[in-house]
Amino acid sequence: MVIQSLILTLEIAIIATLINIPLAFISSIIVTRTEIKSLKFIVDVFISLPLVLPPVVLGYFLLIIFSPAGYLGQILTNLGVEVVFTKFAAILACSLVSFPLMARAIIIAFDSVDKDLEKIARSLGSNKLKMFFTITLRESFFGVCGGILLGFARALGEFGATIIFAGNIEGVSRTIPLAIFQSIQTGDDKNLTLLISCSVVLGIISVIINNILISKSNRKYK
Amino acid sequence: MLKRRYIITIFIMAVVVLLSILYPFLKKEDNKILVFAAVSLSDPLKEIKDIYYQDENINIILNFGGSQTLASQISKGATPDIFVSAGISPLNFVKRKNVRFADSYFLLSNKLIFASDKQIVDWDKKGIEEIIKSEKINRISIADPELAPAGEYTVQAINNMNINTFIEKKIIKAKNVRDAVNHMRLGLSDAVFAYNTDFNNYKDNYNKKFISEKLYNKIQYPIIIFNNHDQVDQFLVFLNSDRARNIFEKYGFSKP
Repeated sequence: MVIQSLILTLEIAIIATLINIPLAFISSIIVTRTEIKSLKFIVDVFISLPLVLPPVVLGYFLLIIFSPAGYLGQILTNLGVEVVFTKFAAILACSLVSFPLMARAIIIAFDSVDKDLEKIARSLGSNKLKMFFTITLRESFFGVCGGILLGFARALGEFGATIIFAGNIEGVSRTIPLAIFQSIQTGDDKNLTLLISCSVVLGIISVIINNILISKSNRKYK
Repeated sequence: MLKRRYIITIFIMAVVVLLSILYPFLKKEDNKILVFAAVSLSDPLKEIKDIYYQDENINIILNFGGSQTLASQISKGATPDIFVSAGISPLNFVKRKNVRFADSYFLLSNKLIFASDKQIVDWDKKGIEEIIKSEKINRISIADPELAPAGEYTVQAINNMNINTFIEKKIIKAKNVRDAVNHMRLGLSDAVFAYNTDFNNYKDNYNKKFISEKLYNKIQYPIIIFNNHDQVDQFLVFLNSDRARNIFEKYGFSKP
C-alpha cells in the first residue's frame, strides 16, 4: 500500500509538473514582457487565484465542470472519455493547485533577467524565440528550475482538490496525502508512520534542492 | 524558415508524447463497478473486492470518504454505481437533491459502545453511569451530533440514560467518530463513545461496553443503487450472500 501510493504520488506529480511547465512559461512571459497592462493584470490574477482559493473549492469547480452533467463533461462523455474519479483527474487537480507556485517563481526569475541583454540580443538580429532560449532562460535558469521544483513539491502534497475531484481510490488517486488520511480514518497505525516518514523525506529533499537552486541563482547576480 | 519548421516539429512531438502518456488514463474501462463507501467500511469492502475480482474478474473500484462528503459529491455530478453510507442522513440528502437512483435498502447495522483506555476496577460489573462518575474519567470525547451521525446516536443514548447532568462537563466534541477515538488514543480524553467497528485495527486492549440498543435509534447503513445494470445486480447478490455477510461480521458489522 505504501509503495504503491509512493509510486503513484511521484507519477502524478511528475506528469502534472510536465503539463505545467509550458503553461507556466507562456504565462510568465506574458506577465513579465507584455506592454498591455490589462492583459498582464488578468493573467496575473488567474495565475494567483488557485493559490488563494482553498484546494477544496478548486476540486469542487473541477467536479462541476468535468462531471458527466457539466458542460465540458457532457461533451467528453459523448466522446467516450471519462475524467472524474480517474488518474487523469488526480493529475489535473495536482497541476491546477501547483501551477501558481511554479508560475510565480518563474515570473520572479524572468523579472530578474537584465532587460538590456535582451535588447542587445534583439538589436543583434536574433528573433524573439532565440532570444528567449539564449538570454532569458539561460540567465534565469536556476530560478526557473527552483520554480519547477517548488510546483512539483506542492503537487506531491496535494490533498483537497484531489479528494473532491478524483476521489480516494487505491491505485488511481490515493496518493501519499490521501493514504495518510485513509490510515488516520481507519486507525491503521503501522502504515501511517511509514507514509508520514515518506512524505517528510520527500518534502525535505525537495526543499533542500530548491534552496540550493535559489542560492545558486542569487550568487549568479551578485 | 528552417528553424521555424524545426520548432513546430518539436512542438507536435511534445504534444504527441504528452497525449500518449495521458491516453491510458482516459480510456474508459468496461469491466468495473464504481463503489462509494464510508471510510469505516474500508476493511471489509477491500476484502470483498479481492474475492470478487478472483471469482468474477470484475474490478470493484472503491472510493472512500466521509458519507456526507460523498453524498454532496454525488449531488454535484459524481456518478458511482453504488453508494454505501454510514447513517441515513446522507441518503436523505441525496433524495432532497433530487438525484435519481434505482433502489435503496439497508445493508448493514452497527452498535454503539463506550470505551476507555484507563484501568478501572470491575469494569465489567460496573454500569456506564458508575464508570463515568469515577475520578479516572475526566474527559469523554464524542462525535459532534451536528456533524456526524455517531454523535446523534450518542446524544440519544446519553439523554435516555439520564446522565446528561453530570456528563455534560466532561464531554469534548470531535468532528467525526474516528477523531473522537483518536482523541482518546492521543490522551486528550479518557473515554469515548464510538462504533463497535472503530476498534478493529487496534491491538491495544481497551475496556469496552456495549450500550443497550434500546437507548438509541438503530444504526443502519443504507446502500443506494444508482445504476442497476446486470453487472451491478450480480455484485449486489454477492454483497447479500452469506460469504460477504461473514466478512462484514468479522469486522463487527451485523445484519440490518
